Amino acid sequence: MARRAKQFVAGFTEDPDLFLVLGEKARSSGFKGIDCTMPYPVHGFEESYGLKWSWVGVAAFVALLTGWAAGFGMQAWMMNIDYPINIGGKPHIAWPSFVPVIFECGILFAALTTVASLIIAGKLRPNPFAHVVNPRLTDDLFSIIIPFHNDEERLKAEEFLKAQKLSAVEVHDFDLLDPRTVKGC
Amino acid sequence: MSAVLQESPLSTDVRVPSVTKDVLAPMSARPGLLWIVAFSLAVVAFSIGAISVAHQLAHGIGILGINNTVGWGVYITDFVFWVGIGHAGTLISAILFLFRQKWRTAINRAAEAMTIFAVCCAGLFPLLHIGRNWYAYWLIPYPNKRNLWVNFNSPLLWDVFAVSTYATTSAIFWYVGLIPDLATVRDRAKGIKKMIFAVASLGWKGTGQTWVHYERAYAQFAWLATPLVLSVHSIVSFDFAVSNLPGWHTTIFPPYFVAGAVFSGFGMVITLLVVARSTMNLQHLITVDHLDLCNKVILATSWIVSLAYLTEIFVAWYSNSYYERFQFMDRAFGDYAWAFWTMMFCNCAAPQVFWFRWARRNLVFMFIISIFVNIGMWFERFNIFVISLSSDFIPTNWNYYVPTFFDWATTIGSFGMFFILFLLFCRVLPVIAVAEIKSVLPDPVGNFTDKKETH
Repeated sequence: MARRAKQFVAGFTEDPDLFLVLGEKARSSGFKGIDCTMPYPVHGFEESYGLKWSWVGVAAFVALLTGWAAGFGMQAWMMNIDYPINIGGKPHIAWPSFVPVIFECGILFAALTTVASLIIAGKLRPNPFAHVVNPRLTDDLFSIIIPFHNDEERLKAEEFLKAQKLSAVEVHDFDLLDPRTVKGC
Repeated sequence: MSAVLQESPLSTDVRVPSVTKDVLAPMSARPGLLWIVAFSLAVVAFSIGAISVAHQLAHGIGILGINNTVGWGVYITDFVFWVGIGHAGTLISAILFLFRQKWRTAINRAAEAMTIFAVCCAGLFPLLHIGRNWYAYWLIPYPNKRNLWVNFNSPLLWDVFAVSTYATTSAIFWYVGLIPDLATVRDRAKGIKKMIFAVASLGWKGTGQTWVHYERAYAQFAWLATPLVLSVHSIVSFDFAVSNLPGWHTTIFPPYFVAGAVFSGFGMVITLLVVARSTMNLQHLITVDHLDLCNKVILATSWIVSLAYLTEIFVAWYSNSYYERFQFMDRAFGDYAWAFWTMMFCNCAAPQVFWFRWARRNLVFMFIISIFVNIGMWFERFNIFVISLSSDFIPTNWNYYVPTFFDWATTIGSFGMFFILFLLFCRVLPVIAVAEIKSVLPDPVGNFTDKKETH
């Protein structure tokens, strides 16, 4: 695998329709590993920019099953093994009455895992110095991000982006896109 | 005109940058007179409740109206009422999301906030209602030196798990939905406010790959919250349905409670949004069309609830159960007939005006109906709990229940707490999901005005 790029060329636009076709165009022009930034999601951006599939859903599903198992295990252990109480001669593991708590444990585990996975996958951190280059990036401005390793690649990317109807083309460090960065504030 | 343009309740004149400006404007503006008056009233109401609760903690629950026969009175009614209010938010954010109802984006943030604050109010009542409040932690199964565990065969314990899971999940869901908007606020703020929102938004940069994870997580929450919201009120209804009392012991309770919860929740959504949208100048984002759709939900759920009432009455007759028949005759014509007919009027009769388009679109009218819905749903729970308890199997046990000043004071206090939280929310957070509503604007950057047809 190629070494990770440190810098990228960014092209900016306000138009979501143009933004959406741009990803496809850049990929068919041979640019690899492109990303983007969006102030609001545009339907179909994953396919257009060829972004990686998210494992957050799988983690939540595993947690759901774990929660169900833990919910049943907890009740069966407490009611049957640790302190079995005879309640009117009923079975100690009266499983139908365990179902609501089993279900809720599954949901609780899955919900907590979903948010934890989102924080890990998105590298989100409570960073008081987090910022974006242009405040409009969280308002109405989209950008396409093309990474480069050397001047040759940079020129090629700049040439491609300048041929599109973009409002600006700039070069930035990848550090800036990391939620953990404190640089340049 | 494309189909998208015609279907959206939002105007084609609304552009992306104006949405950000309009939604964030109340956060930095000075509070209006109405807000100050409302907030002061809420603080007064909350103080009354706080004094009442302090008195109760000092003197015990003997100061309430409950007696040997009617052990669950206004407090438990309040509990179920608030849990019910808390159902509309998750319905709007999760179930309407799964059904791809794009109009939800205008109201989901405020409705979810309402959900969380209502669940906070709801959670207080069972804790206040137990005799020795300082032992509330006994509800949680934890290793203790008596080696005792809680009883997992009891619906009351299921409730502990259901309501606490619901409170946790809906709070996280709400926060995840807020993250991109918190970043939007961060990039428009200065100084300490910028830092606070930078921490709260978890350094959100809006990169494509993060959005992929984010959208997956959001959809995941919708999938989890949908069965959760249905399970919570079902489990609340088990508190009653599992016991053997006439009027409680029916299988219709779970769906009937869930429909009632949605009904009352949407009533509260209308009550809050009719006022909020005009005082915060958001009429172009929370349009009359949105309120119209909410009113249609109210009408539909009113019919589900009415059908449940009629089914209960029919089954009481058809089952040939002496006690069940007596219970329903007692509800309609007994000592509490006033409560029964209040409920019938507010929940079944009043919302029928929403068959008329002008009624669904008239702000004053829908506000009045929404108040009726709130009152009616409070009385529905009062009817179920108090009347069934007040006249059980043995006539010597029968007793009339009269709530005391402290019952009402704590109830008023919970409304005060709810409105304090909601009014603060209107000032410190974006009341509309900015990033979500932008993605459903019919003409976000004005392309349609220049180009004729792009789809």
